[in-house]
Amino acid sequence: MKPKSWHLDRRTVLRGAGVSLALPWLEGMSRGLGAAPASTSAELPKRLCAILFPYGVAMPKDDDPAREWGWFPTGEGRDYQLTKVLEPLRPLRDDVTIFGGLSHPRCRTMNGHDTGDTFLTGNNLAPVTYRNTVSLDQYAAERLGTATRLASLTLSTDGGIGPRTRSTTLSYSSKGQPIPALSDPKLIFNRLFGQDNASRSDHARLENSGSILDLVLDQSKSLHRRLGAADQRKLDEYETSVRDVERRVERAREWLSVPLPQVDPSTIALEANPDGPKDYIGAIYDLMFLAYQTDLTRFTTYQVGSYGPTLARTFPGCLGLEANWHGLAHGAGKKGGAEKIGQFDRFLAENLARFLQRMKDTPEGEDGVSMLDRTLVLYGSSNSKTHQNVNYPLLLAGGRDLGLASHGQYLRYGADTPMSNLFVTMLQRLGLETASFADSTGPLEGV
Amino acid sequence: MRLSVSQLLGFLSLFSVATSSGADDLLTDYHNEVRPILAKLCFDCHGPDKAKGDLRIDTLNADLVHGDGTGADAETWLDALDQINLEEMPPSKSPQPTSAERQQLVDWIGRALRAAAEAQRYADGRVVSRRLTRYEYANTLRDLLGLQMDFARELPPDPASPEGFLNNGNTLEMSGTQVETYLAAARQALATAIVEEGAGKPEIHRFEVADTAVGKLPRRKDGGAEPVNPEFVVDVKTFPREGEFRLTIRAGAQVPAGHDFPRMRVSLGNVPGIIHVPRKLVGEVDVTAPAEAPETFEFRGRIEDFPQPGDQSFGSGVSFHGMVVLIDFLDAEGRELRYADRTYSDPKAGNKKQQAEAEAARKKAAAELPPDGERLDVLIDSVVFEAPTITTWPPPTHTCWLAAAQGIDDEIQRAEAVVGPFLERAFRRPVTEAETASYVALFEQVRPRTESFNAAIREVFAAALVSPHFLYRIETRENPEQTEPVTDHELAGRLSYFLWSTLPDTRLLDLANRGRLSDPEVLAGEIERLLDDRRTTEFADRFADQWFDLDALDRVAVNPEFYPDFDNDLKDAMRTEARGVMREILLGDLSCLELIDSNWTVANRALAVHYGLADRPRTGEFRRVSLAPGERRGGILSQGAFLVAQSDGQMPHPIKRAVWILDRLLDSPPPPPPPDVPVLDPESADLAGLSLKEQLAVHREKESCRDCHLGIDPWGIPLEHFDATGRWRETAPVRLAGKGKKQGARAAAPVPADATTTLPDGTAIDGLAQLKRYLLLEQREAFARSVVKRLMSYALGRSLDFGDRETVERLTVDFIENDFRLRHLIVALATDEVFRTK
Repeated sequence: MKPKSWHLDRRTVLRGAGVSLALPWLEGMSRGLGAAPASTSAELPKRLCAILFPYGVAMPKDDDPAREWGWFPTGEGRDYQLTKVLEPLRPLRDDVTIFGGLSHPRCRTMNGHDTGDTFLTGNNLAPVTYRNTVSLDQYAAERLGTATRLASLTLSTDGGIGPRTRSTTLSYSSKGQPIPALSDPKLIFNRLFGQDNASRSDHARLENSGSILDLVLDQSKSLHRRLGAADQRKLDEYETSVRDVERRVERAREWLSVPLPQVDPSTIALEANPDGPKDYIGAIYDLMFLAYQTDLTRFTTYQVGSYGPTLARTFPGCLGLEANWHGLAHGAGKKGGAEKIGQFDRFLAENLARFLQRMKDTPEGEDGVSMLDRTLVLYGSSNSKTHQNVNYPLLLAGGRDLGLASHGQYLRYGADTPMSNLFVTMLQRLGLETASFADSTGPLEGV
Repeated sequence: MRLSVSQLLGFLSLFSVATSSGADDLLTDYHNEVRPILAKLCFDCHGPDKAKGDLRIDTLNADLVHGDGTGADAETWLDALDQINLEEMPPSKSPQPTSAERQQLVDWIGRALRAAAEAQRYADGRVVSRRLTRYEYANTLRDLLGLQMDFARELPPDPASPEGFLNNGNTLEMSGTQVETYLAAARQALATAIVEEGAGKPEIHRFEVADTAVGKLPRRKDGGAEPVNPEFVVDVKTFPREGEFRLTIRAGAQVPAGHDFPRMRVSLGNVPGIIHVPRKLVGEVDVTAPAEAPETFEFRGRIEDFPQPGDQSFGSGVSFHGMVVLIDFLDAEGRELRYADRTYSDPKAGNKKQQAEAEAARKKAAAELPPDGERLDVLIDSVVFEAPTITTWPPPTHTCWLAAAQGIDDEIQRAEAVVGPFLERAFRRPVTEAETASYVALFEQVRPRTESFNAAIREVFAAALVSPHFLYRIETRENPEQTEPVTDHELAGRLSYFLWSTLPDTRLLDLANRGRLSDPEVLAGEIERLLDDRRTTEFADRFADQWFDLDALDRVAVNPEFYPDFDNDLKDAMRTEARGVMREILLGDLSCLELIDSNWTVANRALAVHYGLADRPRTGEFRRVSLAPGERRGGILSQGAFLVAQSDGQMPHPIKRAVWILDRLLDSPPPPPPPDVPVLDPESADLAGLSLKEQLAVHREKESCRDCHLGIDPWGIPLEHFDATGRWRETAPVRLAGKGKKQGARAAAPVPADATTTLPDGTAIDGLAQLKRYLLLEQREAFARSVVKRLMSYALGRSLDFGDRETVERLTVDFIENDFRLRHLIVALATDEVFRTK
């Protein structure tokens, strides 16, 4: 019998697509692995995953012999044909909707390579200050992320934050601050499974943090009456931030009583690093899958590469192509150029397909529902041709059990349809009553 | 012609700032000029009779500065501005404003809104207690703990203020994520600074590789070093996981006559598989010593900042392998030295045919290259790796901060003894007994949960490092309603963060403790001392970064299709140039007019070559270089930092360049573009086949764009001789009418670059030289005022407001009278009342 990711018995050993999980004799198990200690909800998880790759894709015209290396399918609606690029997704045809024509209208006037920052936020970076706004995943995690140990997990090949307009993260807090991304598979694994939170020193450290925060909060309060009005507002912001951390510390303490799932790291390529993109991208997808399977988090983002001159730019070298993604993208219109970038985009699609297939092969709940059916996976780029901030190559996979009924189609929209409409639909499918996000005009029609 | 302030502002009235727009002037202008136009065009529908859309313009309060107190008037005026700009109002069926009328309306509303914003800022009160910026935090922690670590690595970047400054108290924000990061960084740093009593000195990993050969391939087993290309790889067999390392390299160069010196590049890190990928850069240095008498170079870093092999957490016993020091060389222009006849390949790799081919290729390359001994080559004499670099144990910080506990038995008394001095240093001021007591109370809470006294002290110190008294520069008020002098300690903080971007040194604090710093003579002396100190380069760099928006260089991707030869490292060189010029001006006590035009700049070899200069440094180091008149350089407007950053990576962008000049140099930024403003889209079919000037003219055909762009575009056109990489060009490409195709773009037939234009005041300008002359002669005051306002904003860490006008004017006059010398202005500002009050 196939193992199920959701209803786990004590001492179950999970064999999740190559990963052996010596599983968790969790307290929480009887009510669903990893459910919040204080929660009794047995509801199955609803998840969101968003993935960006930079620089756009090849877009040969329909009569061009190189059309087979264009990213977008030919045809439309249910009657569409995949090109060689997305061909690896063929077995998942009924789990995927491909979108044409969508983009963030507010971001169209931005520099072509600036839009990685706004892929999930939908707002033009403010002039001069480059202040961003909340990203889709963080919006959802803030409202729904309380059920798991980690509210969200932000990953990128290049790691950290990166410079504004060349961010190396897709996630932005409700204040528009970038959230540092993890890139090293070892560190990601540690973040998920490595800490022995039940140890005495962790208890002590969290309690110390509580005491420290109490002290500085008192200091801030006693300062108030000795400050000008504008300064008081800044201190209010400080106090709100400290209280925010206090809540996080409190939550971490609650979780201390719940042991972490024990996972055998040997089957993931944790030694992979971005120098070897094949292993590396696979390892990142493996780790996201594991995080879902153990329900450590439900909201993840992964930036395959930033638009900056970072390591991911050399990725195409792994296929024997020029080790310059940016250059390949710019050469897409040259003779033979579409095939080159197309081959690399196909490589990315193969990796995505493997991730989706693993989730599809993992039952969750009853009636043949899979992990994929309860996860919305958004995948795409914020350029069509490189530098063009319109007509993003986009697809949405999974989520059938969340009410997504558009799969098996290639849906085309006019340029007046904001991509944020898709965000609204996704948030609603996650169970939020969100009516608008960024510049949305409503949910996306046809999904 | 020398213009008075008011004449000058008259010229610039289209963009003029609030400096000229007193509330009374605005009202006068409204009644004389603006209201009659509104009455003619708007009141029929939005007046007493109709009030369409519930809007009456006739009753809209024209006194935006005082307003109705709710800001609702300003909002409505802003809507009106947008509607007029969008040509949505008046509706097309109704009578339309003339161009002059439209311009008057837009100009007046723009001015009134800015004046209102300034007044609002003043009424809201100034933020004076500001958070440390990311770089100030890193510097402060470095100097407080004496540790060279990248403390700010995980902190989010600070947003820039509307004037472009990162240290603006109002813009600097705080979030939960940040507080968490501060706490984690503090704990990490303190773990290094304060160790456990009795903890043994960590093992020092040290090894030396010597006897390497120049230009030869020794057997791989020998010495662990293999020069290839020339390139040297040194296997680091054992190393600690954290701590500072030191790499000492003895190297010399063999430089044939006429060649420049090579530049040594040292990288460190884990390189599984492919050894020829440099990992993370440790440092770069020019090698000028001859091979017979090599020179010793020392590099330091923290090993945890470099990629390490193996894992630490799973205990799988993986041995450390693949950690290497990679030393390779660049020529002075930044190209890697690579000699094809020395390419290393495993003689046994591949089949016989491939081996033979590789050998043949090597032989062919050898025949084409000068023989060994006659080509630019390098010798690595020895490499010593040592980590951690501990000369004293326990660490000096440990001894320093715990010294006061010596000889005391009772732990609480020991805590009392060490906490006070640390708080005073961290908070940059004396602390009260109650403050110390609160930290000792924390110690008592924490101590039972921790394993040692020292571990508990680390937690207590960490608490100090997330306190508002550490993270913010707190300036308290006796009476929040009134201006009052800053305290001596606040003054010490203002000075050191202004000029050094870090906490006050012991001398400043000592003077403040003795109440001496506010003495004008002492203060003047201290300002001079700070400015004479090398650390003031921190000010020059940060001020140049933010005033000129040097980060914009990172936001532009130079398109390789247009500029295949452009090396992205040049962007760093351009940033260094702009900072270097600011340093020269500050340290050499020069005039700020040198920023407009000068006969020198700061460059290294690669940049001088890029600019086509005759005075080329022979190395990658930056130095002052002289500019000949025919080289058409000199001043910020001919620097890559401006020309590249204010382009779009493909073509020069005269509008971006113009806005930058108006905003950053003349302090008169154009009003923001209306919503839905059409961008200048070079792909657009309308614009194919047109020269840039013609494109701009098309752009201006749209009514709503024209009025503003008539005042903007002419400032950017004189720079048309500089391409998007900052190089001089005689011709500019024109895209053929083949629309959209990139091939078409490149196949364009070039036309002579056209840099002729007419400025809004009617002055005809041809090229940068004339623009610079015009700025120096006709815009001196505007430029002076711009420098003063930017410097004040930076020094005070806030946007300027109504209350600052007199100070700005006073300092501007003084600045001009003192030959625009930056150093003089800094002293004048730091001794001015505005700097000494809060």
